[in-house]
Amino acid sequence: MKNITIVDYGMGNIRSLYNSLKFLGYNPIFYSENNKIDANICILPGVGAFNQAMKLIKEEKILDKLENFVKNENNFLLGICLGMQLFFEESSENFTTSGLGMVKGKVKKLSTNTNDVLPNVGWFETNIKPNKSFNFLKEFNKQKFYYVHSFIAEPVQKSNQIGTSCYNDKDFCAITVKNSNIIGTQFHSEKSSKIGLDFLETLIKNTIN
Amino acid sequence: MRTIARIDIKNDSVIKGINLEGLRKIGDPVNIAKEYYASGIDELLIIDSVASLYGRNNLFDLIKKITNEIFVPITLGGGIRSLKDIENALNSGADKVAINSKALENPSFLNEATSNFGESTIVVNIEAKKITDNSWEPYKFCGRERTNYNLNDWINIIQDKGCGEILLTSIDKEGTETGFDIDLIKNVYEIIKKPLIVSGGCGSLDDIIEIRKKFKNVSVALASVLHYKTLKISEINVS
Repeated sequence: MKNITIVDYGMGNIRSLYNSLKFLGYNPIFYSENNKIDANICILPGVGAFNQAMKLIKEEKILDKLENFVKNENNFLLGICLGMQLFFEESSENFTTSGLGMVKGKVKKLSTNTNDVLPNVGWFETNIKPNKSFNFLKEFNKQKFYYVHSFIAEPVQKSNQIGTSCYNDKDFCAITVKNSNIIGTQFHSEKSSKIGLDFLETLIKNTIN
Repeated sequence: MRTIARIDIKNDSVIKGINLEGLRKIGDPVNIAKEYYASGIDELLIIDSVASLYGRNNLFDLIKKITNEIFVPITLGGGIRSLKDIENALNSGADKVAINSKALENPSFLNEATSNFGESTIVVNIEAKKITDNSWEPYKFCGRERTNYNLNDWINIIQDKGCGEILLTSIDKEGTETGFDIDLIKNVYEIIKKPLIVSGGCGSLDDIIEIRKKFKNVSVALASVLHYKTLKISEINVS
């Protein structure tokens, strides 16, 4: 059974991620069990706000471990929702905070118009144009996934963005990638019913031998 | 628009009443939740209908069973009165909690809850009863106790304190299958800046289509029409 480390910093609904991996036949392990990334698949979920998350990641000394983890191209890192946003250089959530800096770009509010409804919650169609490394994701183009967020990531380089969705007629980054071993999704595949589980399984199967 | 199945629970059974009273047993919660998930429901809303009244919450074990095999967002409501309750709900596999009575007693609890768990985890549940032609009052304890708040004032307080979504239940329409309370929804829709879920009164596909036509991006929580099989989830999804 393949091990998968879930980085559990702070409090949040990571139990559902754990359950979905178990359901798919993997062996999820919480980082906090032995303070190690004890697998070659690591998932960074989203919990709370950007600044709090970065604070906890630094305090728990996870930062260096994540950086070392992705240096090995046989390791695979998946970020979900805020977990994906943490890949970027900085976010303006609450106040400006530096992120992991793995992907060039910033995280900003989805809309500054006070009349717009936030958070953006629901099942939204997702356009996927995968690059070579993630070509196997093309079967998920135009599928609906579950989103809940008020912030979005904006990659500087187009090549870091392989998926988009739409809020008030404007596209935003739904999937970001770096090299062949880092991918982040703004949506929650673990909460997106059968299609979401399919997405997770396809991703895990194709990225690790 | 999301289609959400609302599952009210009392003593380990799914129940359904009319105007939140006269509860009738429907069946086993785990089986019903699984059935709705398999049929393509967008979300589940699970409410312990007597928890807040007795100051307890015993749904955590049930939530654990449900979330092992169901992979859509799950909101737990009823008897959520402390940060510890929210933590327990999330650790049991719930994604969000719905809070009503505790917020009415102490609106600052919403501040604490959102700053600890993030806005998107917190749904405020409003059970509204009509007082005059165009005014409503939020009730506590599953429609059992008055609060003397004016609904619009209460919504402004909620939005000021913070939450991720608002669930609006019409006590007058609940369980009647005579259509949503359009006046109530319209009134709230005009002042709300949060995602809105409406509940109470749905009796047909036309009722859902009416909401979709009149209000942009308002979601529906359905109980009777699903429990009594008046509507199939598949036909709502393609309508």
